[in-house]
Amino acid sequence: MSQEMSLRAGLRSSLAAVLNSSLVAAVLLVLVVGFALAAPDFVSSNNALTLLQSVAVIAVLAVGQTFVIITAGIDLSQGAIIGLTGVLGAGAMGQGGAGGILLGIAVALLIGLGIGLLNGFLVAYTKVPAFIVTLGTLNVASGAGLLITGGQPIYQLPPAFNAFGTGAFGIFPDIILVSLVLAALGQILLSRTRFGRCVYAIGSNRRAAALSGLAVRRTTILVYAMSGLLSAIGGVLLTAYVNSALPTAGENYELDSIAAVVIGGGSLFGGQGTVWASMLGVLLIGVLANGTDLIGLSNYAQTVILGCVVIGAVYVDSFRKRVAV
Amino acid sequence: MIGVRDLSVRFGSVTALRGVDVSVRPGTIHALAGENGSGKSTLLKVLGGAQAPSAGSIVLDGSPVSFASPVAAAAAGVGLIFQELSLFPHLSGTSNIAIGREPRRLGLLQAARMRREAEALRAGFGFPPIDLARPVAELSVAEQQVIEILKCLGRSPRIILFDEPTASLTQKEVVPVLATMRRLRDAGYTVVFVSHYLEEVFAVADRITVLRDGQVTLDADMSAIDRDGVVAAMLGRTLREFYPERRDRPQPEALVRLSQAACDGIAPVDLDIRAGEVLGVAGSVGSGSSALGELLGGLRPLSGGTMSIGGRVLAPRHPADALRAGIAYVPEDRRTDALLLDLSISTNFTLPLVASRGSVLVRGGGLLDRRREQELVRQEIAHMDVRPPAPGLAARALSGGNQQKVVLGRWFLYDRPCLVLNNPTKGVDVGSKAEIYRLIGDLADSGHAIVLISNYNPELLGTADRIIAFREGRLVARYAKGEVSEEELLRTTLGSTERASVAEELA
Amino acid sequence: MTGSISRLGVGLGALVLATSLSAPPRAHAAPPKTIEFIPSESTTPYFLREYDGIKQAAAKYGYSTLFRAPYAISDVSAQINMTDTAITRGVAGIILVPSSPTALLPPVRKAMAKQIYVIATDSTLTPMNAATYIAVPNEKAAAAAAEFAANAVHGQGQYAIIDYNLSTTSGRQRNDGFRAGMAKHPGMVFAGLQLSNGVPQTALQETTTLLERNPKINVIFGANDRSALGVAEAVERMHKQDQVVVVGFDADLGEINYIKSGVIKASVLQSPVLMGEEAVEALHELFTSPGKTLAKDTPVPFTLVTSKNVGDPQSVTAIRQYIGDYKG
Repeated sequence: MSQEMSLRAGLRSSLAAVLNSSLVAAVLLVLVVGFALAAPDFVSSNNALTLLQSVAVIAVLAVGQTFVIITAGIDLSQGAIIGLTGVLGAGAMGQGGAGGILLGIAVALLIGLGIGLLNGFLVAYTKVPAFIVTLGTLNVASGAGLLITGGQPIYQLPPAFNAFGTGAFGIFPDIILVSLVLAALGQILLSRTRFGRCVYAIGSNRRAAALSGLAVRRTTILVYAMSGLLSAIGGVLLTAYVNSALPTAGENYELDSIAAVVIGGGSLFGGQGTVWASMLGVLLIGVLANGTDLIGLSNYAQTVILGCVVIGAVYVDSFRKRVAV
Repeated sequence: MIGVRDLSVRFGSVTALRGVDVSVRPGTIHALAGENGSGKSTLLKVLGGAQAPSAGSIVLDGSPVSFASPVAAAAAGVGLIFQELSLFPHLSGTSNIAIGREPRRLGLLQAARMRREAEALRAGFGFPPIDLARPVAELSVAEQQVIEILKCLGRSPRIILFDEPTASLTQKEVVPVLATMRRLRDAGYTVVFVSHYLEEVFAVADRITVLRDGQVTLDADMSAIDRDGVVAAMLGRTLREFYPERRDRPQPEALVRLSQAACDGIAPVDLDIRAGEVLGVAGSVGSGSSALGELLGGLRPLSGGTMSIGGRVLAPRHPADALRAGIAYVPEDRRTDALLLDLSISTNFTLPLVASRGSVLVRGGGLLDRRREQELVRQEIAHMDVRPPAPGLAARALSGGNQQKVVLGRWFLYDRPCLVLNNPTKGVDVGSKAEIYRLIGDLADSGHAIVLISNYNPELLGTADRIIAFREGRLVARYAKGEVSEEELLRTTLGSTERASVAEELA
Repeated sequence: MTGSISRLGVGLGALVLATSLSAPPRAHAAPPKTIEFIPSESTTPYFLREYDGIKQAAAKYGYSTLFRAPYAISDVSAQINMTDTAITRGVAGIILVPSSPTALLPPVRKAMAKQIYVIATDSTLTPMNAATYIAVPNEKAAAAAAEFAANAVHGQGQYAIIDYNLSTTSGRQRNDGFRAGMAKHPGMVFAGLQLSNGVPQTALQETTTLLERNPKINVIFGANDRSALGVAEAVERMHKQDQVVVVGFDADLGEINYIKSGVIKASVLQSPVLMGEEAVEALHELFTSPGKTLAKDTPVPFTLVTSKNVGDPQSVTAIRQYIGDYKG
């Protein structure tokens, strides 16, 4: 009886594994094929690059959001951090050469890190839910950005910086490369380190994690700090790409990053999700937006469809058995 | 009066019941006993209409019947009370009792009539007063159970089926439930119940049916059999000793010493915990026995006195501190406090080891040694005999007994000199219980200090070298092995106003 | 095990990507020429009317049209992506309202290089690298509004501006123009600038706060239709239509009613339909004579419609630019 049971259990978990991650990949494939048939321009190098560039920033955000959501938390402040770090970083950059650019980037990263640490500290040490904490920092950060700049955008950025933002390494745009590297690092951190294991454990059962000797609070703070830092990197990338810094840049981007993580299989209750799966979610969102655009669907219909797909993905997701970490 | 004839139940390729014949005589208490997976719960569910037979039939008053659902069964006079209470937490007791058959006039609920009927029901069956107006989520587990029973009785059944009625109750709360079953029988109802606890079966049942692997292995009147016979029928082998013989004697020196140690819930206590011994801690809920465990485990701060291990004073503010010093605490409620249900068996096993400083599983830069982890996990699964032995399976999928093995097994991977276990066999089937007792014995024999906190006195008496008893936050008694009887221990933990054993209680 | 299956998913994605990256952009057969209109924001009535103008003119020549715009005027990145997608789609011409004067330069450059003609309207690019820029001279128009308002309060008082944003050139120019116009009246003191992002509710809240804090304000300029609407509603709710002169830009139906009732004393009306038609005309010229260079600037007239002259035939014509079936 036990031999049989273990074999069956083994089979079941393999099937679950295939259904699990591949579900998003399967939907993605279906969409790509569908769009390619409906609008042949979809599979052109031009379009592929446009598509990737349009999701590069969200991808970076999604890496950070993956960690946060696995701990059963949420970071709503990502978009606001993009705006704030974009204007502060651009301001510090001035017209300077390499030194100025590095200073600007450093300022942006430090601010993002700082806000992230604040988020993490509040979530770890107070009973205030992450939703409220990060909603609060969202408002503070966007308000601060508007206050500091008076609503004025910053246009004059060093040309070398813009060259990086719109430039490419071979055929791969620079910003895509950055997001890929960050995604890879994120996945390694999540799946192969003690820190990653702690992240999953905290999300699955905080009390049990504490009783097993995990540093729950420290890990929580680090996770939010990471999300803040990654949001700042997103801010730097976006500013470079758009060649201007607006305090309202990145508004609502966190909704896309959360959607990407959830589509990829991350549960808002914690303990589930991987960085690669979130990247598939990001791709799905990008493909949907780009594909519906190309086939000539009206602006408004696009948003409705995106919403339906997200709901559909999460609904189907509730049926599949998950492979446990 | 009610029974099954040649009943079989299959779930896909798994056969839960195979050719079972059981007959319940009217006006008796009939117990269904067996290990986990024996099919006893399935049998009860078939009788109650919650599970359809794959073959065979239910026989009611001599003729075969079939129930499409528990509602149909209730209409035929068979009431089923599930183990997991099916109450609506935000509704009042009155509403829950009347649910589905609320008295109405012109479509509007008659609240006053509902209240009166619920009260009358309660009083008529001799249950203690309960506030039926409050939402049931605010009531104690025992009170909720009474409401569940009243809900069933409100439908005027003739036969009442209880599925593990005392599984989530403490010793104090068990007695009234058993008394209720007796009262019901005396009032003419027929009662069938499923239970793990042989003491209760022996205390109230008139007849017992034992199932093993889906088949009946024993079906007799209680007067005709004894405990060993029942255990043998449940396990399929005679257990020489349910509680294992211990090999070594404990060390005389203390490993952990508490000097006037106090915390929230415990008055100052002096206690030595020795390596190589099993220290039993008896006490009902709220007596301080659990608080002692949490103090040792670093969940409650010391408010006075000192705690030391191996001569070094420690004041843990966090479980990680206690762990580092050498004390591991295994909490009572594994589902909410110990298990990472959605993560794999493997992760659950290695969690404390991964978290520890200088862990063998963590290389430079925080990277995990996954191959080593897989090796260790495979060894431990074999050692603890976890079924199914699938390291990637989510912990949620395991039975209670196997889940507890995972929870205990992690402390073999990350070995601590002192292990504090809080009710480790709660909700665990008989076979797994025996394995756990064996493990505890092995741990003690290999030099660990084991603190066994338990509400279930027989297991303390069977496994502990010494027993201390708590009552109302104070350490009130210390006994050496063999110095105390079950009745006296019960009396000590419940206080002098309560009477001795369960059986005496009911007499 | 999870890792390898996740990697499978990514591998699939990479495969698709590689296939698409190696596929060359497709050449197009000769279906009707498509003109894509990409304003800075998708829900402003003004741009929808401009699109009406575009459709009308396009129908005349047998061109087909498309409408694409980001939801938020601040989502510059989205407008860049849409422009890129239009280029991929291989449209014949793009009519663009740039939400940023510099960020849209690269896609416009790309388009022009591929013989996809770009006409900029309403807001401009810096430097202007599209085929031509069609707009109302924003500074002059705003200055005219300022002149009217200053005269209405006899040159004495305080004025505030509710602009939609300062990231588009039109937004900046209207702000600068109004200030310049007011500068000619030393008795008018500047009392503050707030941004509404084109959301009437925001304009309403900001106006209410401004007036509560500073009751001496007697002129408020709402720099586009949505802002002006919010300002007017706030002034009406506070019953201050007699103390505060509200001047606006553009005229949707709500604004027209406010002009008639006197809550808005005057509004600068552009000619969105005309602008759309002019843009298509410009594209048509370029389609039929490729290589032709157009004038860099194509100014479009504006009309100052006031509560007094709102019934005049000239005003009615101007209003018809916003509300096609307006009768008076």
